[in-house]
Amino acid sequence: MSGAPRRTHEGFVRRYGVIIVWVVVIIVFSLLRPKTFPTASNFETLLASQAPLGILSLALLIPLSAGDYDLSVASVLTLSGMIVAILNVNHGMNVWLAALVAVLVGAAIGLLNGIICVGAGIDPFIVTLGMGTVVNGVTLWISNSTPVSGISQSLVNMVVVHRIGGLSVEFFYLMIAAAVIWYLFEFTPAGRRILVVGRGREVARLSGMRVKRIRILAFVAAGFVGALAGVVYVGTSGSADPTAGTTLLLPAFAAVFLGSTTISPGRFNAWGTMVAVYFLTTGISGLALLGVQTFVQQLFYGGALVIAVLLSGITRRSKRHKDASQLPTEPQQPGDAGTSNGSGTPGQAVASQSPPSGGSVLGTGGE
Amino acid sequence: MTEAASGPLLSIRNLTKYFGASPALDDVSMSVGYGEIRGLVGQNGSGKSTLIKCLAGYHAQDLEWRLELPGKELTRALRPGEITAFGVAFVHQDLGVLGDLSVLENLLLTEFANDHRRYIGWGKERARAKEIFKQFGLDLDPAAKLSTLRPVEQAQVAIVRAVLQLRSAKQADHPGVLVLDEATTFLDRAGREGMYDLLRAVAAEGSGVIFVSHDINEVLKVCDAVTVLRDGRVVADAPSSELTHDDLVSLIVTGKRGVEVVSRTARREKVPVASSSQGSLEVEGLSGDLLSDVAVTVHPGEIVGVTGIVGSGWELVVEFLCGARRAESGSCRLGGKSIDLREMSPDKALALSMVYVPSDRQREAVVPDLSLRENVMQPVLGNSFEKGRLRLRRLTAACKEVLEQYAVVPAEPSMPIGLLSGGNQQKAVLAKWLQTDPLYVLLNEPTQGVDIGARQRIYELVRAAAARGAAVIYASADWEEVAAISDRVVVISEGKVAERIEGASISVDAIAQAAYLGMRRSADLSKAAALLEDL
Repeated sequence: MSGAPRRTHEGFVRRYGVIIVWVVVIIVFSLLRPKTFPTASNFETLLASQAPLGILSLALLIPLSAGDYDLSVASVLTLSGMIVAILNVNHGMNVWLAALVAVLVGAAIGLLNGIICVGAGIDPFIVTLGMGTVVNGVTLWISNSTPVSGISQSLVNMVVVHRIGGLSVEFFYLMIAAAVIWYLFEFTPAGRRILVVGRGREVARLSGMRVKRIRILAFVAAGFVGALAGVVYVGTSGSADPTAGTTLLLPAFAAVFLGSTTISPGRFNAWGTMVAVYFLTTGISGLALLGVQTFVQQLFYGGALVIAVLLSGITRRSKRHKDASQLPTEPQQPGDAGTSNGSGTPGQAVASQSPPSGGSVLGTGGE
Repeated sequence: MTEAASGPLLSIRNLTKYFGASPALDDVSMSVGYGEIRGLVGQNGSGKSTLIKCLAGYHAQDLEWRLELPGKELTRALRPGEITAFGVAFVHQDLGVLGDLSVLENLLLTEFANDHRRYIGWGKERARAKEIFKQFGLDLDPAAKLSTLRPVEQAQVAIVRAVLQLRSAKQADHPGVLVLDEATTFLDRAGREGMYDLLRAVAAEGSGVIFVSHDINEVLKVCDAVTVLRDGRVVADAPSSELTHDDLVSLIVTGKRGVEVVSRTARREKVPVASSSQGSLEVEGLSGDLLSDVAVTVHPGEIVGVTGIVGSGWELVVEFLCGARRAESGSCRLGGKSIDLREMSPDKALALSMVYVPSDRQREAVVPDLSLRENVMQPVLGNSFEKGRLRLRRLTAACKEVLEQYAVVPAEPSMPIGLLSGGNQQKAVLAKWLQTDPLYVLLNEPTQGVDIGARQRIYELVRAAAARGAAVIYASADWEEVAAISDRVVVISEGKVAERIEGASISVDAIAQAAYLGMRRSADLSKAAALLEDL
């Protein structure tokens, strides 16, 4: 995989740190709750139940890679689920057709986000924060603020009831979604373009990339995938809750940022995100089995997000220093008058660049 | 104008500064007196910026000098910013003002930086600002948003702020020294008068002013005395009244006074490498920002240098041409097509096989955190995309080959490009574009911040691209390299083509003459216009 550190002991720890911690967490909980935690059924639940969160995280990953925040994805998830429920339950529409409508609405919201942020050049952080709230409002409006249940069993069957190897099919949907995102960013020129757009917008523009179109499409993709997560979400329970998504936004962010510290450290990546999703879920479920109160969930998710961003910043910096010290030194000719407005030494330049994952996204928000 | 009186206020004695083995400044002495406006002029590379950086404390190594200020004498290098405490303030080219803030907030910016007050009395501060504006004869509204001011007024705010800085820093009754480091470069000529008045008012208070500029006319107009640097040495130190425009041009270009510097009229027709105009790039009527009505033609296999002094707008030629910035008007003909340059964009340029190497490498050309492979192979990703996916192994191998071919060290595709030296980054950027065998190559200061060895290699790469049939425009402020590499040189002065120099007539001196003389011509014209108005 690209951007991988050298095959050293340290590199291994850096790259698989989250996985190692995950395994440690599993061992600790297994020792503390040997009867309930390390059981097949607990692991089956753990793996399968996180499909909506996982898919939502993948949705978030796309605009983040392009350098844009999308705070509205979780609201899109909720709205999408509610659309499926209302069309199917209240209007008797075929559930698959309803799902198609929901996904198209999600993409349309993404398009609107993209047009406002990119077309009008407004900070996506604010735009999508507002858009998310509007979408939440619409969800409450169309549902009369009450949950809608009784969604067609055919959807529920296709999400949780059918099992492959003991696991609900939703787990495999998540893995397929992760594979698609991984493939997009790793094996297609389009994915590489998104990456460059996210890291250096001006570089991308001057390299002949159509930066605006790429950014807008990333928002559209986020809306589309976020809505898919909503369809899976209602499939898990057969009902839609008008406030379901609000609790998923922060875990999704935590997963994507924590994911950027592993597998391909230093960049948002699909498999790292999957690892992070399961690491976080394991922690939560273990804590629940220990009987701690629910507010601990918030502490856990919130703390994980902050620590993830901190970690990704630290690992990147130390990696840089290490790599830099291994370089053969070359004489630098300091420029005089003609080059005084030049770009300085590479060391300075690297140091002045904002961290690629969390920081760069924050830094480029205003464009 | 005030007289220089009672000895120097600030003096630099025997400043020698080495970069490696070569001296950038060689035994330079210069002083500025009470109430004196001292011009500092010289070509690019003459050592002006180095001198200013020594004062500002950005060059600590290999530096020898004696710095004398009232009641203070130093022989050591300064720390960055240290000199402000001794009553020296700088106004740089970018002015250091924030457009979103008000005039008053901009004025107080530096004070806030070291301020421990708990409360800001805005009413009082506004009154103080009005007071000082009045004192300097400025008509500025402290509450206005800075970006709504004209560029000259913004510069005035920056200068007033520097004066406030001097006042708060200076000990006892010693006036301070204001250093204007090419701060007028991007101001339109029309409004600069207000700036000169302000400088004179500052000098009238007893402060010294060091005025660094490329513009000979304004130096002669505003300065009491001028120091001319050439190749790191002082070649002249004289009162402005004893200098003519021609003297200064001659001193800047040749280091001697009285060398007859005449406009070159002989123009030889050069036979292009490819005789047909097929594949030529013809730009006409290119205007926008500082540029007006520029025409440039490049034939396949040819390297055309575009240059001028800082602030003349030479770099805009390539920026407009590739669509990095939008031109206000202009067209270009290439490959039998005529393209409106108002509609140009980098992706359209690329579709026409026109590539652009930007001058600001860190911001515009590379993504430092991404690997060499991801940076360099970006334009040719399609070649490794097969059967639905990128063949990463093949891409890496191809990248290694390209890096070796372009002598990028280390040729390690997985290395983040930001870890390479400036020269190697630039070679990698050239590799990125030249591997596509483009028909048109636009280079904007391709050797900026690049060491000597890499420079040579870059010249070779550019020549090789031309030899393969590319039409190359080489825009650079470094006249030596432009003279060395170009088949023809277009010299821009005040936004217009001042001179086209070809073949054997190309030399640094010829470029310098054209660049500075172009300025005199337009000065003469404006003088003539003024005379006509008087009639």
